[in-house]
Amino acid sequence: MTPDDLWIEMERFDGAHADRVWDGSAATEDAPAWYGRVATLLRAAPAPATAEELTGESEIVARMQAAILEPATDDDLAGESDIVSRMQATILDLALPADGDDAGDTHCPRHLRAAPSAPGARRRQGIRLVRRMVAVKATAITTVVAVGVTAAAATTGIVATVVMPALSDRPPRETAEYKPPAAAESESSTDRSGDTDRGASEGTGDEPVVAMDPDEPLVCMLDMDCLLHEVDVAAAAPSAALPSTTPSTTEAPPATPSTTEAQPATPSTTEAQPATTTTTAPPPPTTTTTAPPPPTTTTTAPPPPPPPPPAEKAAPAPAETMSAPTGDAGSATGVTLAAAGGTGSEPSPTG
Amino acid sequence: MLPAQPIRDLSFPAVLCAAGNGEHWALTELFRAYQPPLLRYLRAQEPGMADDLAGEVWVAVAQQLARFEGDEGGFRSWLFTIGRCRLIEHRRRSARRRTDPMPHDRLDGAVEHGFGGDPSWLVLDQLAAQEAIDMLVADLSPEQAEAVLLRVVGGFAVPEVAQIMERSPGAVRVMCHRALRRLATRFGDEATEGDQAREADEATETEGVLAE
Repeated sequence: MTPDDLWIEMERFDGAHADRVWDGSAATEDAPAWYGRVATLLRAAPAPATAEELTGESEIVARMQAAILEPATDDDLAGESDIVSRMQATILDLALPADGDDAGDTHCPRHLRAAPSAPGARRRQGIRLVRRMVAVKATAITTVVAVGVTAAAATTGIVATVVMPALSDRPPRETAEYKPPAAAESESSTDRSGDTDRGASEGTGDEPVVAMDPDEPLVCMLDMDCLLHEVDVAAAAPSAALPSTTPSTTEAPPATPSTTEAQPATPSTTEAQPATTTTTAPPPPTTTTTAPPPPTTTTTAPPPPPPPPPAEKAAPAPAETMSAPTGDAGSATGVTLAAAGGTGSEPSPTG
Repeated sequence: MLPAQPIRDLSFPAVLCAAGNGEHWALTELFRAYQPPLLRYLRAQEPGMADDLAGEVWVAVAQQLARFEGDEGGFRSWLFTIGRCRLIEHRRRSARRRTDPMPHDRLDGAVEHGFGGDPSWLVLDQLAAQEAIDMLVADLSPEQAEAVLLRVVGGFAVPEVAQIMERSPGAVRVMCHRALRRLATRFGDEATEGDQAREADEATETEGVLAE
């Protein structure tokens, strides 16, 4: 180890020597040659302040004075209350004794234990839960109402913009001209458009047909009460229409009184004949079988009186026999079915 | 407003108390007394940002001055501690930016004030303080330079340097010892080279005289 190295090592272990070295005041006679230059630098380092180094003195001092005198701004204090409250809560939580729930955590480190519950925490938690439930229910109700209103509005808009224009723009149906019953008997069953098959299959040739107005609103056509009302109106039509609509019946079998008896026997059905015209004509052979043979009566009794008028001879007995096949109730039901099935497309014969 | 009596006659606690109350003269006195070493300390490590960092340090000192308790040594240590913290924060920000502005005069300073064979070396007493500090810590590691700066510029003892640097006093002594060894190596070689050059000049002159 050279003397220079020893001199350097002394700086490490001798505090006084180290102070002198770093002050630049070490003894020059013992110091190495290079220390002279280092000492020069060390003495120059703490030189007095220059003007350049004190540049900005007034500005910095003003800032310092402002920082001391002016209170802290709101930005600096932003969140101060929150932080203070959290610190206070933390301190209080640590100061509170552990509850019974935390008794089992005493063996755990404090930072792993559950936070102790403050007094009234459960009550506050319950209130919070109730509030949340009410809020959720209110939200659900509001959503349902909104969806319902939207759906109703959409439906109304569709009906008003699509359905109603389509119904109102529907062209009126052509009305078939009235034809005489005899001539139109064969055609009437086929002219009833879509209900032809049904009427033919059911054999409702003697059933009355309800007259419907094509210009009548749809709601009325779909209403069952309205249809029944129409049936009642048709059934209660004036009997004046009968002479005009039943000339063929009077002409059919004048020789046999039973035929004349048959017509008044079904007043309810014949009342609808103006609408159906020829469908109610009974076949003559059926009436002849029910009548007693005249030869047996001519031998024992005086000659029979002249035949009474057909209207007066309308006996209830034949009516029973005639009404049996049809029946009022059955005819009403049949009419109802026929009307319900054929009102949509069937033109009204009466106009 | 300056006080009626000279500031130098006031004790440090009185100046510190007045500065804590926001007195302008007290703040000016503190600034004039401690701004040069603080600025040299910062300039030796961050030349480009030293002035701004010094301003931030003084504002931070003013904000906490009312709560400071201690003597003059404690205040100086506190001041340099704040300066060191600001310096570290600045270096962290600079590390993110990956750029470090450096004035050109500082880059050229080592060349202009080179030591090898420069006759001006003999008049180093006329060098500015900052130039002397730059020469002193030029070849030192950052930790050695910081320890030397705190000892030389700040005027702190080893325990105070250790407290500021958050190191042990033994570690600070080792850092200062290694710094001195590096200075010895550097200036010893320069001294040797200078002596050799001087001897060569003298020999040349002697030969010239003999030739004549």
